Amino acid sequence: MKVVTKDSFRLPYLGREKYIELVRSGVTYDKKTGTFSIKDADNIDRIKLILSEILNDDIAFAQKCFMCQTRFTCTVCEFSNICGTRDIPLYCICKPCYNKPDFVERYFTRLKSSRLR
Amino acid sequence: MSDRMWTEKYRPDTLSLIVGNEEAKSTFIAWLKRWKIGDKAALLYGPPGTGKTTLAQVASKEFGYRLIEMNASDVRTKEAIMRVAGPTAIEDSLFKTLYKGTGSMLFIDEVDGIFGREDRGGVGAVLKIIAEAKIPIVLAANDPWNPRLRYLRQACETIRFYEIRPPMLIALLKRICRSEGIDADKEALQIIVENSRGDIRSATNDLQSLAEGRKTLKVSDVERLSPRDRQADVQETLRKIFLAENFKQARRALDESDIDYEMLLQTLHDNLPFKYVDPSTLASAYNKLSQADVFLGRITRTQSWSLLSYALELMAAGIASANEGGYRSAQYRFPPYKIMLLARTKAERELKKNLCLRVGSKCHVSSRVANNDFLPFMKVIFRNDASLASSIASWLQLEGEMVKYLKQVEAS
Repeated sequence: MKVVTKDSFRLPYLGREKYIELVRSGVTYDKKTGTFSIKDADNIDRIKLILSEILNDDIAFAQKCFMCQTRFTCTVCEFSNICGTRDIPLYCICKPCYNKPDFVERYFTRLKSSRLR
Repeated sequence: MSDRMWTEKYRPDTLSLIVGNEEAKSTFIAWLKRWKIGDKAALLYGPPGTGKTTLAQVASKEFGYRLIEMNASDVRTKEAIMRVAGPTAIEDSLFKTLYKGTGSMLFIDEVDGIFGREDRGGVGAVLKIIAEAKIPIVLAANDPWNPRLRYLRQACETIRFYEIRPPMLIALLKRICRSEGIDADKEALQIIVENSRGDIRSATNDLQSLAEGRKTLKVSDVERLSPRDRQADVQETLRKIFLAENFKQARRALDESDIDYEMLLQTLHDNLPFKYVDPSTLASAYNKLSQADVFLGRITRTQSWSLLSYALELMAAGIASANEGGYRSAQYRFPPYKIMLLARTKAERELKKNLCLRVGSKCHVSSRVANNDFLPFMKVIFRNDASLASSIASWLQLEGEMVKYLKQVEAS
């Protein structure tokens, strides 16, 4: 299984058709860095399908922990069977952070410090 | 017991307290910060209870905007929309001058509600307001993929909201439990979260209905919730409706209800005999409900939505009159069986219809031909040939849900 990070990932040579398919599905390409990123997750199933064809392997998208910023996949999550957004690359909370005794305080402290303004 | 809903009591009042959808929040705030006259509106879309309305309300407060809210499900025609939203959106200078604020922000909730058959120029009115607006406009919708919303999507910066992820929802519920002095089992909260399907409103309502006034919440307390499937908020609404002591209270409860009118009528119809005991008052209540049904029928036929208030008044009168004859406690029956059958397949029927329209327009055939002659073969291809399926999906520009529908194996 290959783990793909939403913000930046590299691919082997795709060919024109696959490239167009990816772009139409919501993936962008940065010529400077030579990396792809997922701009729009609406067609995430299609992106997954195309990437798995290109990489010839199963694909999992990396989730980012809102609290410690580490990357992990839904396969290790205890809520994966009840989560409606499984494998969509979004902020989540990793298992070690969730299992900390003061998880609730830490989560709301992190929310307050997320400096949206 | 508190008479305040926990969804209101614990509604965030600052941006930093809104749980989940970090990406959507950041995108929306960035849009609001850089907004200038002539820019696109923002369309917040996603499942219910994910914080779209709260985000608009809290952001307007924090950025010093006067928020003008409007629910598109209530105001559907061009004239009504222009009367409510038009002047505000186009002339904002008075408020700025008088109150020295940032100005106003217009928030149109449930914008997908105006795109039914009853929509008389509503789409055009909203588009006109967006094009001429001198203030930021925020729209919210559950399902923005209706083909009629196409032009509106183009006129907006779309921001998607997802279901709230379980760990975040659990954090919120634990926080509420602490504030209320409730010792809740981790597993009990997990069951509530599972039932809510990422909907903060449902989860909070479930928690309140199960734990309010108690000191502990155990798995055994929550077990009865499992088969109910997101009905706690509906149960709360029905409780308010049936406990109304007079016409005025019943009318207010009906106004606040977010249950579809037809379903509401059916629900009242199904529940009345289980709730009220006196046969003569019950007969009078059913008489009122039948009159309300006549009005709802006229609304459907003529699209005269101005008749809706009469239908609601009659429903309220029905409940209030039945209540005079005594009340007995029983579990509310919802949804009504007749509606339940239709509702179960509605989303799938809608998806299939859109899929057929798309295939039809691309292949120059009617949607009926697409359904009968194309779809069966497409289903076989999507189930067996991933590569060909991917090309077809790309050519037809199919959405994820459509691909999923084509891939699913039909029950024998």
